[in-house]
Amino acid sequence: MNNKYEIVVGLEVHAELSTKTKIFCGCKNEFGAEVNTNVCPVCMGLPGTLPVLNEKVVEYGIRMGHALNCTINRATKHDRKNYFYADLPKAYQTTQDDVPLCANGYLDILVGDETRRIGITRLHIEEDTAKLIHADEFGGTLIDFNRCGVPLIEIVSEPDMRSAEEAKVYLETLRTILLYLGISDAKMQEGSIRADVNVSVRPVGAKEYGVRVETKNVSSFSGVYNAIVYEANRQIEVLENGGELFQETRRWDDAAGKNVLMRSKEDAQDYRYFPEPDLLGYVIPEETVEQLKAELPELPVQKTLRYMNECGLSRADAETIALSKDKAFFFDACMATGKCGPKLLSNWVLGEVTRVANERRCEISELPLTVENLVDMIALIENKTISNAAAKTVFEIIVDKDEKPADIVKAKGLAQISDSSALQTIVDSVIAANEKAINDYKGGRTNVLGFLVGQCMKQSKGQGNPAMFKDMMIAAIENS
Amino acid sequence: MKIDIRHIAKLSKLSIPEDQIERFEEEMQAILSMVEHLPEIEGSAVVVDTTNTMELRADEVIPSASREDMLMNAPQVAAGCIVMPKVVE
Repeated sequence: MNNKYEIVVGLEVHAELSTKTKIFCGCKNEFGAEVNTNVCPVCMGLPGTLPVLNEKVVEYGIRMGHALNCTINRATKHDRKNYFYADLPKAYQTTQDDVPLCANGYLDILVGDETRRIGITRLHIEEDTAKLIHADEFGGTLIDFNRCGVPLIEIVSEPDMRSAEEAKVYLETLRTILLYLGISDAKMQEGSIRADVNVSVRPVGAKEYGVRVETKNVSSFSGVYNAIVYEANRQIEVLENGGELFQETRRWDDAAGKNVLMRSKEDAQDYRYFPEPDLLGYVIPEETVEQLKAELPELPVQKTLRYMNECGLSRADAETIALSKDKAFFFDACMATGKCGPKLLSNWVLGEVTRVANERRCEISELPLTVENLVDMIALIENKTISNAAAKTVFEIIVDKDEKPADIVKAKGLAQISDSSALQTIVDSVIAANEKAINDYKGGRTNVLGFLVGQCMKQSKGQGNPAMFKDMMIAAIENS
Repeated sequence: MKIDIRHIAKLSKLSIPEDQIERFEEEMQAILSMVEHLPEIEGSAVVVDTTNTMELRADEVIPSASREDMLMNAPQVAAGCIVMPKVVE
């Protein structure tokens, strides 16, 4: 990337909402159904039909608006965006133009060590389009209307991002919030989140924005990143060669890793927005808006900061937990018991617990493991009743069976041995059996100490206190 | 507002003969001057009429129509879908 230029990025993100039904009719909103089975005269745009707005769509939109610190427009309405294409049989999309449901918000994101505030211009609700399947064997294009009328929220950001990395973090943060709120499946691979990316470049230090180019059809995190890098480089190359940039719309081809011109400004669509005559305006009661605000959960960025500042976790660990609703809810439930500290807990949640969940391809919440048993086990490590090695044995049991860790320790004789005479016997025998390692240590290769302590742990069947072994081993060698 | 008939014709995918352009321009300009007065009508500045609002619908599934019925009027159907001439936008 040429460092004479600054990249300016704004994102328009569409997310499908996970309501039971479509936005304007009672057809099921489900992904992967048999083609054209969730359809009716309303969503197929037949003449004489009338749309009726789904209240859940409004509710979900307001929840997201609150999460993005927006003003909620309590009196709002819908508009028609007219365009002629087979994915919308009405020849217009019912959307919102001048009075979006939510506006003027912001989202704080964590990029590197910095908190960046990205402005949110607006959030509005609208309908998704039908899916066009380009199939040569049928000599044309097939239309599946199942997706037509699926509710969408469109979230438009200010041109506040300054790199592809920031845009990627912004999108990931939005996705996690959608999941936290439970209002979207947010599966990019199923197209439930899609982004249009606006990119311009300007010389570093310039105040004016450069010519903005929109790239459509970006449907993965890496796609967003690559589409921005590609477009910024294309613009810089044009400028460096003395060329001129034009406001235009380009289409991202993820497989080819490049974009192609879709239409120039001259051919820009004129959507002729006007108020939707088939729907009246509506007023959302103030109590509803306030109640939805009160129900807002702690969001991922706040969680990350809390884990770092109050729990003392590293940035990486805090973020890995917070960006997964499953991990975060489990971690918080464990912390709420007050029985164990955050550091060891985060090691276990991110380590063994996640490993088992991944192996079984399930969520942590779906494991038979209970919060109580995990925190009891960690408390036993913290008060030095058991070693980490013995804890693994306990974990293998409690991950599947609701047994008390203390009982398991007793039944299996896993309690850590801190009796120094018992440990000394083991240290002496390890020293006797590892003459070469002892000489290495004396010769300055102190890193063999780990190996020697490991041998002690092995002989004690994981029950010896490793810290005591270490001290006793050093003392024994130095006194020999 | 200036009417650009060639641009409008292009957007609407209409071909308008050159010798007709001037006539269309005059006629549409006349329509536009009339429409431009609409905002002066009392009450037209109200964006959302809060005195006449709609009820919203509960998020409950209503059985969909049968695919056969919905596709009945389509000129061509294949694999459960309406077929249309190949387009890629």
